Amino acid sequence: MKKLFILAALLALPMLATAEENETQAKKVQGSGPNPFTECGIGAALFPEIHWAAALSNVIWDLGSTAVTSALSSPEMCNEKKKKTAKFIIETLPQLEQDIAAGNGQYIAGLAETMGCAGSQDAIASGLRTSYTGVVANGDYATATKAERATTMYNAVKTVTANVDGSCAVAL
Amino acid sequence: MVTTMKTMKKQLVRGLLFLVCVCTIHTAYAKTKYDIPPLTEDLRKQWLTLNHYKHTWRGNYQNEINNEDYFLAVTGQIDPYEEYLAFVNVLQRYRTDKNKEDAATICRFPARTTLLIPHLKWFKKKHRPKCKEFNKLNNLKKIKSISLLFASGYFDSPSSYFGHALLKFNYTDDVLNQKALDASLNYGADVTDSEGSPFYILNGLTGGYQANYKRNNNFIHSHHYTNTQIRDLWEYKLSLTPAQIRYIVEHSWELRNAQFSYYFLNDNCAHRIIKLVEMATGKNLSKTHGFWLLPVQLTQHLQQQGLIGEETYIPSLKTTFTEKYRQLSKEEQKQFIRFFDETPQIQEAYAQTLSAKLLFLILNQLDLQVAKLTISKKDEEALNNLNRQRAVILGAMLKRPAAQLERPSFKKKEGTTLLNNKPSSVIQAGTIHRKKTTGALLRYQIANNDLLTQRLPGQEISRFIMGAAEVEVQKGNISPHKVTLIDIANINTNPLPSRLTKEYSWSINIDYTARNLTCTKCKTFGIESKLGKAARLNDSLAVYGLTGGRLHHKRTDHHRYVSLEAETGGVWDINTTTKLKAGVDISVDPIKGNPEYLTHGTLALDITKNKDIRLHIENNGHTTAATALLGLYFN
Repeated sequence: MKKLFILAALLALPMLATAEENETQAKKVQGSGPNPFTECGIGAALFPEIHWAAALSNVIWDLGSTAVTSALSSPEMCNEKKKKTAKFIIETLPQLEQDIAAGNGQYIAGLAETMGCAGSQDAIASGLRTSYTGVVANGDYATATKAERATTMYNAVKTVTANVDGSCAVAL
Repeated sequence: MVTTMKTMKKQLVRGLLFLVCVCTIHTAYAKTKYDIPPLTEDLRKQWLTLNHYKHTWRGNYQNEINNEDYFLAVTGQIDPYEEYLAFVNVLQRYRTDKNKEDAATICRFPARTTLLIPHLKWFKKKHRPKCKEFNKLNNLKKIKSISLLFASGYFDSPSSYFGHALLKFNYTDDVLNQKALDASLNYGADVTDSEGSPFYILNGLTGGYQANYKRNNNFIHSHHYTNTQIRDLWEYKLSLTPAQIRYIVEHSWELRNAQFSYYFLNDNCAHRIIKLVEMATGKNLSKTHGFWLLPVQLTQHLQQQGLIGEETYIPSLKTTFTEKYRQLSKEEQKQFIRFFDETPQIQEAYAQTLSAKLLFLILNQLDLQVAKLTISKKDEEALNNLNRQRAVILGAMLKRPAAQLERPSFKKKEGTTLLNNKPSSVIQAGTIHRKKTTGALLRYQIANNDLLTQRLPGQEISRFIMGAAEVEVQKGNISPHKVTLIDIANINTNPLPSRLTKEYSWSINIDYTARNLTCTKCKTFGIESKLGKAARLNDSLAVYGLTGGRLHHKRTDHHRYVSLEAETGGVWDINTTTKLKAGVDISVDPIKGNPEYLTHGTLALDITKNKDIRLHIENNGHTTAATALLGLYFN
C-alpha cells in the first residue's frame, strides 16, 4: 500500500508542476510572453534537425515537454502571430539578414506582413538595420548557431516593433 | 465455380437489402418537408467523383481515401449511397435544429454542400452555417485565380529530377498581408525512411507511404524551393471560372482530413494536384500513355486544354547568382574570387574595399554553400567558416549607408519557356549503317531529357532517362540493341573555380548495351559511373571531360568484368533548333591496357515541338557506323 502511495505521488508530481506552470504563465501579459523558439516548443516542432536544447541555454526547455506543451496550448503566451513570426525568421534567416543589411527587400516586407505591420515596413527596416549593426559587430555573431541567430533576430524584431508600431509589439 | 456462385448470391442479397434500406429511408424522409433528392445519373457521377469512389470489376466500390474517419457513414468508404444519405441527413438535422455538431460537419464538407444545394429545395445558400475557420483560412471570395507551381529537381539530387507540382491561390490586391497567408496547396508523402534507402525506394514504388494535402505559407514555401533547395520555380496562372476555383478551394479543404497511398511513379504529387483541376474542369489532364505521370507533363496537358493563362519564371538562388556573376567584368570576377582566397584576418579589411554589387554576390555565394551543406552533409567546421565569412560581408554592408547598397540586377533570358519543351517520351525510328550493311532501328525512351534537348533557362546541360529500349532489324532478324534502366548525367558549368564550389560534372547509368555501334557482339549488362569537370566557353558552347568505370556482367573480347571509361566532348547550341555534340570516348581494360578510341558526333534538328531528327556518326579507328532517326515525342 505504501508503495502505491509513493507511486501515485511520483505520478502526480509532473501534474502539479504543470498546474503551477500554467498559473505562472497566466499571470504574464501579452508582449512579455515567452520566446517562441525556446518556450513555445515550435522550434523543436518545426525544425527537429536543430538541437535546440543544446543550442540554447534554456532552463524552461530543460523542464521537459510539460512546459513546452503548456506554453503551446496557451494562446495568449504563444499566439499564432508569434509562432508565424518565429517560423518566418528561422525559415528565411539568411535572406532576411541580407535585406536588413541592404535596408529593404521582399523578406523585410514578408516579415512586416507576417506581423501585421505592413504599413511600418520602412521604419522596421531602418530600426532593424541600426540594431543589427551592433549585433553583427559583436564577435559572438560569427560563431553563433542558426538557432541563436534566429533568437537574436526575434528579440531585435520585438524591440524595434515596440518602438515603431505599438500594435505590432503587443502581438509579440 | 461454386464459390463464385455463392459470392454472387451474397452480393445479390446485399444489393436487395441495400435497396430496401434506401427505399425505407427515402420514404421516411420523403414524408417530411426535407425530402432526400434522388441520385440522378448526373448527380451520382459527381458524387462518386467528389468523394473519390472507384468502381471495381466486381461491381462494388472502393475508395482512394484510406482513412475511414473521413466518411460520415460507417460503410461510407465503400458505399457511396450510405455516405450520401448520411450527409443529407446531417443537412436535414441542421435545417431542423441548427445544432453545432452538424454545422461543424457541414463546414468540413463545403464542396459536398455546394454540389447538393441546387438539388435541394429546402437547403439553399442562405441556410449554410457560418464556417468561421474555413472563411478565415480561405477567404474564398477574394481568391481571383489559381496557379500551378512547378519546381524543377533538387540541386544535385537525381531522385528529385522528376520535379514537383503544387497549387497556389492568388488573392485580390486588396487583401492585406498576402505574404503571411497559407496560400499554397501541397501534396506529399509522409516519408519515414531516409532518402536513398531500399525501404524508401520500395515503399515509394508500392504505395507504402501515406500522403495528404497540406496548406503552406506560399512565401516561405517558395523561398524554401528557390533558396534552400536551389530549385527553379515556374508559375502557371490557370484559366478557371469562379465556379471551378470554388470547387478546388472547397474540395481541397475537405481533403485536409484525407489520407491517400503515395505511389512515386503514378499516384504522386503531379497526379493528385492535377486531379483537383481535373475534377473542377471535367477535362482529362492526368492522361498518360504509360504507368507514370511526370510533373512536367502537367504543364503540357494544361496548355493543350487551353487552361494556361500566364507563365512566370522564378529563378533559384543559384540561377540568379550564376547569371549575375557572368555579367561581372573579368576584373570584378578576380576581386570576387580573391575574397575567398584571403585569410580571415585580411578578409574583413578587404570586404570594406569591395563594391556593393560584389558584396551582394559574395553573400549569395556563401548562402548557396550553406544551403548545399544543409541539403547534403552536416559539416560543422565548414558551416562555421561560411558563417564567419557571412558575418564579415554583412558587417561591411551595415557600415555603409543603405542608399549606397544597390543590388546587382538579374536579367531573365528571353525566348525560353517550359511550354516549348518536348513531351516526356519519344519513339525514334530510322536506319543504322555499319560495315556495308544497313538495318532499321527502333527506339522508345521515357523522359526525353538528354544532352541535346532544349534546356530551361539557367538549367545545366543534363540527361535524365528513366527507361529506354532499342531494337535493330537486320535482314528480317530483330535483336535488342540497347536497354537502359536509368541514365543521368549532369554537366556542371559553374563559372566559379571548383575549390570554391566543390561542384563537379557526373554521370551514372545502368544498362544493357554494346561499347559502340560498330561492335555487335560485345553487349553487356553493366553499371557505369563517371566524374569530371565542364566549362562554358561562351553562351552557346560548353566542353566537358568525364572519367570513371563500368562493371560488366560478363567478359568480352575487349575487357573483363571491369573497364575504365573516359569521355571528352563539347555541346554547341548552333541556334534555337539545332544542336551539335561531338567528342572522343575511351574504353580500356585496366589489366590488358588496350585503349579503344571512339570519335563521334551527333546533330539534333528540331522540326516541330513534337518531332526532331538525330544524325549520328562514329568511328573506332577501323570502322564507321551511322544512324539517322526521326523522333516523335508524346506524353
